[in-house]
Amino acid sequence: MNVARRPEELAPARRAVAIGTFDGVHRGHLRVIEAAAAAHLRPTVVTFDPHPRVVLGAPVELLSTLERRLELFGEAGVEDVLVLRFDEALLALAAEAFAETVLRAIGAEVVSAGETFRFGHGRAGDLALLERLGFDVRRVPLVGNVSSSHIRKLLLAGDVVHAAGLLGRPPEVEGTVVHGDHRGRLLGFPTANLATPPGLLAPQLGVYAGATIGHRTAISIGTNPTYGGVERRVEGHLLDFDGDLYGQRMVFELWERLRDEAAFGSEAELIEAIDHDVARTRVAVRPSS
Amino acid sequence: MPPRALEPAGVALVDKPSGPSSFAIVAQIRRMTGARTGHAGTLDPFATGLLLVLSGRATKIAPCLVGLDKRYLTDVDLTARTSTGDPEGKVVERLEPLDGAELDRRLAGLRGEIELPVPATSAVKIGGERAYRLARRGVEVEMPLRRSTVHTLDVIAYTGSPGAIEAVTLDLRVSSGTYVRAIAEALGGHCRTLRRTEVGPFSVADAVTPDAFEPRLLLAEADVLARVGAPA
Repeated sequence: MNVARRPEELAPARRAVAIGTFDGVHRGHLRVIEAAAAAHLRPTVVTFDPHPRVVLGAPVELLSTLERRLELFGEAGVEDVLVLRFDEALLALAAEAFAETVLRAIGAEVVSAGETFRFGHGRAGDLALLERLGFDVRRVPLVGNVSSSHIRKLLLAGDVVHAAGLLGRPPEVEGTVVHGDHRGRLLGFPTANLATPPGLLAPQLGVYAGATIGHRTAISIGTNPTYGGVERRVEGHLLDFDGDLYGQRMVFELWERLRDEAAFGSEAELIEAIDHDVARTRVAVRPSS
Repeated sequence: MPPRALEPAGVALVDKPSGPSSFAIVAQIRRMTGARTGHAGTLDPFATGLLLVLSGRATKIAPCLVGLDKRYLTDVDLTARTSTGDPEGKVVERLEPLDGAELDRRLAGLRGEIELPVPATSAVKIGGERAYRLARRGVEVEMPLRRSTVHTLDVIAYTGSPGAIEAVTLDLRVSSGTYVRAIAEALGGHCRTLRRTEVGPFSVADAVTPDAFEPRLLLAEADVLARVGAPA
């Protein structure tokens, strides 16, 4: 899959373009991409970064980084992605100008988008405008209650199973492995500590069963209250794994919420609780879509 | 001609482009491997998507694969019917755009166990001759009915407005042997595009274009049989 930042970086082609921000690349977003893929043209995504709401002053905690979004587009069979920088210049661009200098310029013939998609200065452009400009427009109705905002609510409530149903795959936390307090190793449960990118949504604090790089993983999203911690941490103990992960980017899948985080009276009690978490992680079931 | 080689053996997941026949894709793979080669379910030349190509010894597992359920994406033009149910035929009738409620009613009648006439331009034999040959000669015959199961049938996108829908993109999961063209005809239109996205547990997301095929991408027979739940 090719990733371009400017329209002229894409090779000339007759394209079916799926357009949207696609935060989380959930089942509804995948339908927009499928509607483009159904046309026998080069399946292409046009997307925005940073998230328009961040720039428009109504920021939301995001379900996915741009890097993860791009990976998911690739898995959905997209051949080319144009990532447009969402900034003052793009905000000032009139809808017709956007259609001509972006969509027409990259060879879009078919354009698919959510029914309510708006674009251009003052959000004046809609799909009817694209039709008038001669694009073959595929309008994708909302799929039930599948929306990024609904998924955010479910994750903030720790409901990873329902969130998985809307996403079409388990929810994830993503980050880079950094050095922690090395306390887990002393307790007998070495963990990978993730530094999560700013702006990314963290699900409800607690302990989760999940997986990463092919290993079941007991995951704690919390503050380590037994040790008086206050800062939010994401750490995972990979079962049956021994190796150095420092500096790696990792994606933890969340399969099941096991319990709230808790402050334990002694290390022995904490170890007993983690033993129990690990046992439940071993038998946890990956939620199906 | 010497018997074709039994190696390399395995199953290739190929994403067929629009244009060539399924047989042409099989021939292209065979030129690269020199092995006996077949496929597990044809796609019309205009269609794209997942074709299971069987190489070498794995050709004998075709019976375990041909009956698998299929998933398709298709663009159905509701404003014209064609002689073939696809974009290659002549337009035989122009139609007004469809109201959304009427579309829903017609879709409801196409879910579950259905019986539809086999398209006149298909490879079934009528009185010993291929139906498409008869159609090409202009011989009109009563086409047999084919029973199939439509597990899911969803509109994922439409063109036009909710009161006047010109085209729909459908995502459908169907039993083996279902003619998507027949479903488009029953809706009152024709398939503009057809893309097979899944065959049983196999997805087009894991497929390669014919040009990108390499023998090392062949899935082992035993793994394929395990994934479809057939005895090895």
